[in-house]
Amino acid sequence: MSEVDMAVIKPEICSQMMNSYICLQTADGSIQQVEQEVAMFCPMICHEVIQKGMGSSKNCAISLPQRVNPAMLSLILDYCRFHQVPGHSNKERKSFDEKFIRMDTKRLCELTSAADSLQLKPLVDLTSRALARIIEGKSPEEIREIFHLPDDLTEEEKLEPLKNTTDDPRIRLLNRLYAKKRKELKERQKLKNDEVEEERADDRSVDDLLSFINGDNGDSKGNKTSKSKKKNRKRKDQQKSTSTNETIKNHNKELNGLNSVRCSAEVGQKSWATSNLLDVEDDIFASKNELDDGDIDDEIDPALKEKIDREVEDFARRLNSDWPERMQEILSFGHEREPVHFSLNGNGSLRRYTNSEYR
Amino acid sequence: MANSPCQEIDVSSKRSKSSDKEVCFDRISRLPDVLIQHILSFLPTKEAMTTSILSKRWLPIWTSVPIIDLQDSRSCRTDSSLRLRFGQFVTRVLILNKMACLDKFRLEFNMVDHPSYVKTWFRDAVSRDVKELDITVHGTQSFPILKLPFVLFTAKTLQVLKLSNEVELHVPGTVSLPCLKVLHLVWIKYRNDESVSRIFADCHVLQELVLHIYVGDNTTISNISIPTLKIMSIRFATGQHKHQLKINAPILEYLNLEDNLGLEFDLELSGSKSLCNAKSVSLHWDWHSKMTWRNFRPHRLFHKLVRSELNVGYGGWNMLSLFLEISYNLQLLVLAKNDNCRGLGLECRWKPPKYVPECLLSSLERVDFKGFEDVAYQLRMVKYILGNAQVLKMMDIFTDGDLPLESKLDVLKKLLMFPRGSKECQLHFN
Repeated sequence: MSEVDMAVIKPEICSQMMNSYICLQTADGSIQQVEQEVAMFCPMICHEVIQKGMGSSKNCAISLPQRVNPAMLSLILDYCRFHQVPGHSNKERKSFDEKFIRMDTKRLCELTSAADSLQLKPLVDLTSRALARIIEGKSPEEIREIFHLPDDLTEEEKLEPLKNTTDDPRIRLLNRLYAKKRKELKERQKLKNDEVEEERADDRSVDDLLSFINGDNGDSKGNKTSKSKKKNRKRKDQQKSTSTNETIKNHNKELNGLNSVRCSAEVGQKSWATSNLLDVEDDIFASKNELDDGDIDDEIDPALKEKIDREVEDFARRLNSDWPERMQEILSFGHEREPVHFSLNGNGSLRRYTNSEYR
Repeated sequence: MANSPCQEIDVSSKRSKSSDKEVCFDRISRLPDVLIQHILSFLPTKEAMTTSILSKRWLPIWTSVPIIDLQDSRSCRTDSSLRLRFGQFVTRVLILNKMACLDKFRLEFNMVDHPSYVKTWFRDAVSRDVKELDITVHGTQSFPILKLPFVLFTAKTLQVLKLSNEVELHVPGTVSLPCLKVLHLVWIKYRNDESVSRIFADCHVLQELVLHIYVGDNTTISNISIPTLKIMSIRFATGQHKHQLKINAPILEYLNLEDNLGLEFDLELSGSKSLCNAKSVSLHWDWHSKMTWRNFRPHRLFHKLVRSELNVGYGGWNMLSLFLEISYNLQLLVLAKNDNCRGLGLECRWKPPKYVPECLLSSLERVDFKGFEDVAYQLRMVKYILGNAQVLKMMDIFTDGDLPLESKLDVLKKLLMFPRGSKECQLHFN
């Protein structure tokens, strides 16, 4: 039989049956009977009925895609039931849509997915717009919290794209501190390899130290200037920064010195980053001059914030404990973590080196 | 037991709380890329870009959204370095967006000091087969106007073109816009009259035209002849005393004519079928505008007119009788007193139609009257309509907010006293 015959015959058979229902089977095996007009509003179901003649009885129930679970199916059918009636005015449809879309984001996502698999474009648009409205105007942490997104980008990866600003200077400062701490962890890893510890009297200024840590080989751009620019906004936070600067200073006394190769690699990365097209100082977007010392004008998770707070306390505690104990801790601490070094590939992409490869 | 329902409720709420905690995983990232891009396409591009730092999954997605919607900030109006930065930013976005075909490119910005940037953007958009282009430019002292590159007028895939403010339309001799369906030219400048006529001549599938014309824009649009046009909205703000407009649009369904301060409107409908198919006509003008319709054949016009809006001053009320007589199927009538004329209370002589119009007897279901004032001619109108409309379901009357309450009540009483031709008629008074 040709498809046209099928299209002509099937509705007749359906109407001959009890209530012209169509049987739909969801992925969990349960079968629902739905009025024909309502179900045919979905293009995918319509296609199945007309092209393949399915759905007329429980034996040949239309099996719906996996993304459609029974709860979503009932929502979708409610939508179809309302909209397939031709008599409603545009105003009525709009107000129905507005009420319909009020649900939590979890269900919105599921509904979008289900509607997409049934090719029900008006509903996909409706739910997509609702999700877009949720995303709009929120900071990345808020969005991550709402949708439970994992924060799995490293600081370097977050450097690259242009970002929105939450102008909280404390967040920026914490990011900077975090970046510094990661470098300290790398330094401690170096420490593990060096047996001899020298305690050097180090009376360089804090700023010099910081710039040295961050691999400044005469290419420092923004550290001091950026700090002076934002002096007014950071008065409160100077206290925090000085206390952690102390700890950094003290740790530097224990160190042998930094690997200059590593520094230059980092500088290379930064100069690439600064010449990157994305590097723009813009009052619309975060100031990028502060890329240099690994400053990331980035938002920071509350979780990360806590992590940093803990580390700060940790450092403070270690300072106050005995020297040999501290040595032991540092040595053992260096074993636990494998810091990863980043460097540049020829095509400008970041490449991860493990410690052994690193030269 | 009395306790068990409460216990049940507690348990179920606890259960839902714990299930919320358990099921805290990332649903939105499980959506396929196409859907996430669809969601991001409803956001301005800046917002879409911020999603790239959410997580690894989201990092590259914004670059595949085929819509670029950018707007600069207010402070760009006065700061040229900010404008420059915005210009660089737009260039970067265009480079990073990796879609070979753009659906929409919308820009609203203050003119950057390097117009070559802007031309590059348009060339890029056109080369990416852009379908919709929406440009609003605010001119600056050094660069008061944007001149569009000619490449725009040979864009084969362009379906929607919207230009606003300080853009100059200079159409070259060769125009080829085979897909253009929607054209909005709002407060723009024209190089010469030929630019307009060239564009109109070439658009073979144009369905929607919106024109806002003002004084000093270097053109006098008087002849619009577009056979495929369905929607037309023209607004004059020229302050000229007389407008002459010749419309040839046989399948026009929606017409909106607005005029500020015009005194005389000379509308010629050329072609035998003009406005026959019009479903909605809306006229806005003020003061003593008088409209003469040429080539007017009442028995042909407005058979399909379902909605009519008259937003008029003093000279326009005589249109009401005309409309009622010639629109046989009118369902919705909106009457409004033009904002510029309200509160002045001037009278006008309104004559009701000779014979009760057909539409009042059989089709008019709803009337909205905005800006109602307690003046004799308006009361007469309302009385006439209420008395003769036999299928009227609702009449909504809105008065100005600043009328004192007692006078409102007076008016309401008068209105309620009018005899009604339709039994189902409800009178709403705001």
